Amino acid sequence: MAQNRRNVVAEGLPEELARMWRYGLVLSGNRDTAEDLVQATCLRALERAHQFEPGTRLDRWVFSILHSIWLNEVRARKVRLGQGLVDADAVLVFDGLKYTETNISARQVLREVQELPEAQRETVFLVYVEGMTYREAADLLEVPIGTVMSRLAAARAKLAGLNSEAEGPPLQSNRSHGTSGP
Amino acid sequence: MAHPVHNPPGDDVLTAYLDGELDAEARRDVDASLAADAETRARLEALKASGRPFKDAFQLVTDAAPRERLGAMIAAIVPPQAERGAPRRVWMSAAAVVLFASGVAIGTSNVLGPSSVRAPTATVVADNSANKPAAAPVTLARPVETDALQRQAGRAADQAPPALGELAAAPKVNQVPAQPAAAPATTAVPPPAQALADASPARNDAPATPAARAGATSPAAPPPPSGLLSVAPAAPMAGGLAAAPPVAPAPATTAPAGAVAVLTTPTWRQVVSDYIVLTTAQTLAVMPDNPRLGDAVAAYGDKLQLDLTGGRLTVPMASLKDVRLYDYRGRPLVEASFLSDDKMSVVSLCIILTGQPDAPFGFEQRNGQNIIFWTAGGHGFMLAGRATRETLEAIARDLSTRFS
Repeated sequence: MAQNRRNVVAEGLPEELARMWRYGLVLSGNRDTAEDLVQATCLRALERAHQFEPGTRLDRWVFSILHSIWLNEVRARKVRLGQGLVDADAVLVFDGLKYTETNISARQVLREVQELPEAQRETVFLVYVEGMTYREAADLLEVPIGTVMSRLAAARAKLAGLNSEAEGPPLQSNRSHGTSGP
Repeated sequence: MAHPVHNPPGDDVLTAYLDGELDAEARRDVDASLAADAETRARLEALKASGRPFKDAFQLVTDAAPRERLGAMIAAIVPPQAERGAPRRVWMSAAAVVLFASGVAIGTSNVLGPSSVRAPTATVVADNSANKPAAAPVTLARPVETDALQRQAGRAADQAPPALGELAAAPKVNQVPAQPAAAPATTAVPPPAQALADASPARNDAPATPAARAGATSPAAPPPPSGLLSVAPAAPMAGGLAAAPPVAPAPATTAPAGAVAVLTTPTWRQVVSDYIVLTTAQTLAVMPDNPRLGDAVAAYGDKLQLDLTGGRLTVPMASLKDVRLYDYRGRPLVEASFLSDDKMSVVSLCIILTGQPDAPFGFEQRNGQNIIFWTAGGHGFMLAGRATRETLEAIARDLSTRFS
């Protein structure tokens, strides 16, 4: 059984690499760190393959590992060492991508997302890019579902240019409303 | 009659409403608020303005993923299917062994638990073999370029994060299929000058442990040339397409538990070798001639700050079939692929802007290919193929005169 689970993980990992890297980049803002995170996540996933439940989504599982490694290990270390997490100075060598209106729009969206505080950025990514439900995002982030709601609301407010509450919880908050999550 | 509204929904609830995350009862409450309260309606409309084509935008990020390196990484740590389950696979020992160099230390003893961060070190490595103690620490990081190129590039891992917005401008790098594990190069006694040129404090091309040394073949002189671009028969395979299963003995028998070996650190040539080895003569033979190849050569030369036009990219008895521009960690890298006139052999010339001082020819073997490399005018050159060493050296000499 354990070997079977390991095989499931081993066979599934290659399919997830690009998205894992993307997630790592959203978190770290650094291509190299994103690669490190992917590698660390893969090794950790293989090491702990016996904990993976066949039939569940491998991508969600490895994302949770990546998130954990980032939060508890890489990010913590960078903060401790006083290293910046985001440095917008680097520009990738570019060739071939046409500056169509679509791409200009996409670049603007990416910039806007990058400018969000990390917690909001990550939540926006998980819900609006990865398509997770609030419950799935809350489980992965290990936060209450209300926190997911608050982060998304703050992010939306900022993206919409509403007010300064984007940096904190919404001024108007009513938690008495239930969500449809399980 | 409208539902009485006592507690207008906050932004979080309105956001959940927009996202379809409210249950039926909560949704009814919001609907009632919207019906009764203009301010709530206005707030909802304002929040709607935050909608963005997130998925489309982030597809560009996915497209910019370094798939070739990620593929090589996963190939190094996941064995071929037929080998899975075998006890104490050596592949795992080699794969799990990575050199700490990027400033990211990651413990493995707690999957979701507290950090087990280690101080930067270039020493500790570990294997993931079945008999590894559960709490054995691993110092892990992406195998990092440690040669002079990387130093010159000045891109310490933590100093060069791109903005996501910049990422959208990332090159559409040609996607390369997953690669086999990087394998130690068999470097055939480099001349002293080359050793100097490539030396760096952290350089790790030479296997550093008994296990790693066992993975390298001994230098072997290729057979004499049998014709231009002739295929060198059976070049020593330090790690060819089937590089994952190494030839090293089980390291746990020769090293302390949890510390077994040091993975060779790939240089840019290793990275390049890992993908160009996949190009076969047939790959190029079926490729239609590109009428705009000349334009590409000129444009890519501009990127390299090196004139590639005027017949400079030519190889005797072969034709230029393809030229591609890549980004290697912020540096332009151009690969030119030549197919021999008899359609039997491939030679690849790769040029990267390094800013390095000139260095004479060196020779090495990677992935079963012979490689001549040198540095001139701030550019690193790498000529690779299965032709004999002598043949490649002759071509390299010819090429070098055009780029001196």
